[in-house]
This record gives sequence, structure tokens and C-alpha cells, in this order.
Amino acid sequence: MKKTGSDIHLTLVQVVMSAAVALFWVSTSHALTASADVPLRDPWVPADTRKAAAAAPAPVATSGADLKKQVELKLKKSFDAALVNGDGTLSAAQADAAGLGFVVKHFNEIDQRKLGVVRFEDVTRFMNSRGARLD
Amino acid sequence: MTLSIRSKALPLLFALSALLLGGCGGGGGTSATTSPPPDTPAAAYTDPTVYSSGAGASVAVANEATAVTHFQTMIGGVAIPYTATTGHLTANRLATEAPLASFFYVAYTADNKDLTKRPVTFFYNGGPGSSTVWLHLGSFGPKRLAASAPSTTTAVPFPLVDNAESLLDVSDLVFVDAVGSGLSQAIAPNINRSFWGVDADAAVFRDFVRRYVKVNGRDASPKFLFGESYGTTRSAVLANLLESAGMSLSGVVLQSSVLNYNTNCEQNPLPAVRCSGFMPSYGAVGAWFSLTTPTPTAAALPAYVDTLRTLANNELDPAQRVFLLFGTLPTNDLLPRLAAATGIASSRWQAQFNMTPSYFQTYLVAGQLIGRYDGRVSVPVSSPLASEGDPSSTFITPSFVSTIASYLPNTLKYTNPSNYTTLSNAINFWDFTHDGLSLPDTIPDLAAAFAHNPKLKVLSLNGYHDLATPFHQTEIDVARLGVNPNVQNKFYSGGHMTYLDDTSRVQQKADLAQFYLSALAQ
Repeated sequence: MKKTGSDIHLTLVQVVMSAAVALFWVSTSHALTASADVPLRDPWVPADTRKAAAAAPAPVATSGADLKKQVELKLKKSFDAALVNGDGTLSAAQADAAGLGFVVKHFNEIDQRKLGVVRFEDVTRFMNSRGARLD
Repeated sequence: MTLSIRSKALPLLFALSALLLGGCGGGGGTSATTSPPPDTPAAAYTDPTVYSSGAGASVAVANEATAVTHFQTMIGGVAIPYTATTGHLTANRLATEAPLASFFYVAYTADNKDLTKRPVTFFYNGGPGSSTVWLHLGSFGPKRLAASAPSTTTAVPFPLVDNAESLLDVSDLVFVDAVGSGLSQAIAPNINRSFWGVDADAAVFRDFVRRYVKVNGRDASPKFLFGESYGTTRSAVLANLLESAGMSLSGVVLQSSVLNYNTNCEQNPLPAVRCSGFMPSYGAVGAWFSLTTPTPTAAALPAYVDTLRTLANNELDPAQRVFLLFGTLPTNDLLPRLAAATGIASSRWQAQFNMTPSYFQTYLVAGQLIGRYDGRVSVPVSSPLASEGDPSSTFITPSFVSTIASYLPNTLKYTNPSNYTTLSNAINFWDFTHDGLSLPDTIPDLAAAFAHNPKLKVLSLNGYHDLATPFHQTEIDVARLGVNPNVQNKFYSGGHMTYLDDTSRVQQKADLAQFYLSALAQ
């Protein structure tokens, strides 16, 4: 069947309209995804994350000495992220620049050697002196 | 059009907010000694900024102007005048102070208190991706939605009533929404998604808390965190980050915890994860429906639950371990004893011996779906309330969604053209990795917070009938911290949101008041 001019005009209008509808659908369906398609299920882990977790080795729920070791490693990692001297020590200014406010706040007590720089073991010794029982 | 309005309005707003802040702080955080300054005038505020929960969304410039309203409420027979401050506050990156995110918050501060002694508590829900509407309008704020849990026949929307159990007599309360939820949003060049992960989220919350404390002169105030569900995951990580940054906390309140996703058999797909930690919750729910043998009275529930703990630890857990390794069911009388203890048939235990909560919800009562958040809720499977898989959540949600939308402009005088995002889809983008694990275990974070601050106090609140974060698994997770008098567990009749139960909320308030007292005595 041969299309007339008005048929083509109609078709163009339809194309424009359906594009508008599609755009509207995309924008509203995004909004809906945020509220309706994800009912609050807290806590919840999405399917893809579950798959990744299933492929990883089973984690150990540490306690006692193993947990203390884990905590010490965690603290060391955050201390080491601030290191710039290359000798394992931090000045108060360096600790401040790295956001280690705890070290800055207690710097004089941690710096028992009175060298103006502290080592990781100085920090844990100070923590233990306050009752942290890391060792 | 919109752009030109915004570009004209923003500098003005900035000048206004600078004026307001100048007026509040008197030129620095330390000079404010009472909360809030008595001269803070009430002021409605219309924030023209359009906020979006989209993963790629950000605001170009943050707006820190606030609406300020004054109220008075009665708590324990004492009149408490208070100020509500509603608006946004920018979290700046630790050390560099680069702007990261514009956090939406509502702060309730009792008037004329000594800021050096007055505690301030930061509240947030979890999800991840949830706004803080649940804690804000349901728990210990000055007003609460009267949900009367576990009723599903209460007229909706629930009335918003003065909260006789508000914590405002004990602490100032700041309800803050995670980035991409509520009206909180990333600041360019960051996008919301930049903060959608365990570590990035906790870090930006740390930077919000630091900023709030600084701007409001709260350096000396005792500080508390109050997170629920994923919010407890956040709290554990956040507590360590705050302590490490030099901000000492007095206490952390954990409402219905998921501190280790790896031990929750509903969340972790590993074939070795046992569901035994859920079984005492099944028994509490079965007892609610009088399906257990014996059926304890409400007062005898704690003693009954003790027998379930013993059964779970000594018999079910080892038997599930064997089952998951070899596929063999126990040959002794464990199945019928589990049926008696939980109220779900022996054949069901046989069909799914490592019984998941969704299985229990479906099969405890024929033709009925049991609630996940609150196992005391039961509706016919054909009910519209069953359509989302958790009738206890579906029933309460519309009241919270509609009330926050009217409460912000009408009561708190804060108006904004955007929709308040009760729940974003952040969870579908969330980076769950933490410390080398695919799913977070945050017990080491809590332990690290204690290493920084051995005086820290932790209160773990649990609902006996919560099938989302089972109380027994939580107490097992918390026990990894070792014997520590600064860690307390409390249990209440009720679901995930124990505070929606009118009896439990009263007990919970009393326990919280006691907890704050003991934390402040440290």
C-alpha cells in the first residue's frame, strides 16, 4: 500500500510521540526502581554480590588472639598509609596530614623516645597502656 | 530557566547561611556554650536545590542554609523546650577538607544545655540505600508514628504523636540520611555512587560527624552513634574511623545488628554457612502463634529462649555442620524436638534441615506469610500485604513515606522541590568488600575502636521476633569481642524495629537512659 503525505505525517508524529513516551518511561521507571522494585530488605545482598562471595574462600570469624592480630594488622595498615619517611616513623605534622588525629592528639604520650617521630609499636604500646590489651 | 534561578539564588543563600552560622557560633565553634544559642530565630526555609538519588548524580554547589523551628515536649513529666534544625551540611574529606557530600539532616537540640556535658547522638538506618526515616519517625525522636506493632489493622497513615519515650531528655538527636537517600547528595566532581561502598560510606559519615561537631561547637560533647541494621555495619566501621581521626566516642548503640554478613545464612550463599543462629528466633515466633511445645507466656519468653539457645548451640549447629558436609540428617529425635521447639513441622525440618528464614516465613502457618522484619505479623498469602515478601514492612512503609513528605515542610518548615528518597537503589551498586572479604565482617572494626578507646561502651539491642537480623547470631558475633563489661546485649519482644512495639519501646528507653548514664560516668 502506498503511503500518502498525511500517513507519513502521522507516522512522524507517532515516532516523535513514542520517543517522548519512551523517554518518559525511562525517567519514571528509573524512579520506580528506586522505590517499588527494591522493597526495603535490610540487610540484603544483591545476587551478583552473592555470586562473588560464593566464589571466594570461606572467611574465618576470628576471636581471641586471632582477632587481636587482625586488629593490629588493621591499625598498622592505616599507620603505614601515612608513612612518608621511609624509616617507619611519623611526625605529628605527618600524622595530621594523613588524618591520624588519634596519633596527633596523644603525640607526646606516644613519643616516649622524645624524638619528635613515632613508630607503629609506640602507638600500640600507648594503646596497651590505656587498656587495649593488643598483645 | 531553572539554572538561571539557581545561579542567582545560590550566592544569596551562601551569604544567608554564612550570616546564620556567624550568628550561631559567634565566629568560631568554641564560643557556643549552650545549645542552641538562645537567639537563634525561628525561620522557615525553602531550598531550591533539586536533589537526586541517581547513581551518577551530584550537586554542583552545596547549600548549607537551614530551617529552624522551636517546640516543647514532655518526657517523663518534664517539659523540654527544643529546637529543630533542618537542612544540609557539607562533609569535607579528612585532612584535605575537599567537599565530598551534602548531607541532609534534622537535628533536635534541647535548649539551654551545657554543651560540654550534653550528649549528641547520630542516628541512621542502613539498607544500604535506606534513608533514616524509620529511626527518625519511628524510634526516639520527639515525635513518632504510632504504628502499634505488630498490628496490621491500625488505621493508616499512623498518627504522628508526641513521643513520651523520646531520648531528647538524655541527648541531642541528629537524624542524618546516607548519600543518595533522603535529600543527601554527592558534591561534584564526586557522584552519589562514589560513596556507595562499605568503606567510602563510613568515611563520608565520619566527615559529616566531624563537620557537624565543628560547626555546632560540640567538640566537648559526649558523642554517640545509633545505627540500625546495615547502620550497625556502618557504625562499627565508622566508630573505628572516628577514633582513628581523634574523635573519641562515648557509646555506640546497635539496633538489630548485622555485624558480620558472612555468618548470616540468608545473606551469605556459601554452602557452609549454617542457619542455626536463626533457630531461637523461629522458636520465639512459633511461641507467639502458640505453636510450640511448651508455649511460654510472654513473661516466660526469655527463659524459653534460653533453652532454644542451648538447643541451637549444642545440637542443631553440630548437626547442620554434618548435614552441610555429608548431606545426612540426624538419626536421633532432633527433628521432632526442633518441631516442638519452633512450631514448624518435623517434615519441614526434614525438607530443609539448614532452614532459612524465608522458608520458615512461608511454611510456619499454612496459607499465611509471616513477616521478615516482625515475625509476629501474619497475613494470608493472597493479601496485598504479602506481595513484597514481608507484610510487616509493606504495612508500615506508606505511613512513613507520606508522613516525612508532609512533616518536613509543615512542621519543620523546610521545603524542597525534590522527592525525599526513602529508599534508593544504592544496594545494586554497593561495594560490599571490606578488609579483603567479599562481604563485610565488622567485628575487627569494633575491636579496633576499643583498641583506640577502651572506655567505649556498646549496647546491642535485639528483637526476639526479628527474622532479618537474628538475635542469637548477633550475640554470637558480638561475643567474639571477648568478655568486656563495656558491651551489653538487650532483648525485647518485637521485630527488627523493636521500638514500634509500645511495651518494648518503654523498656528500651529505660535501658538506653541507663546506658547513657553509665557511658557518661566513664
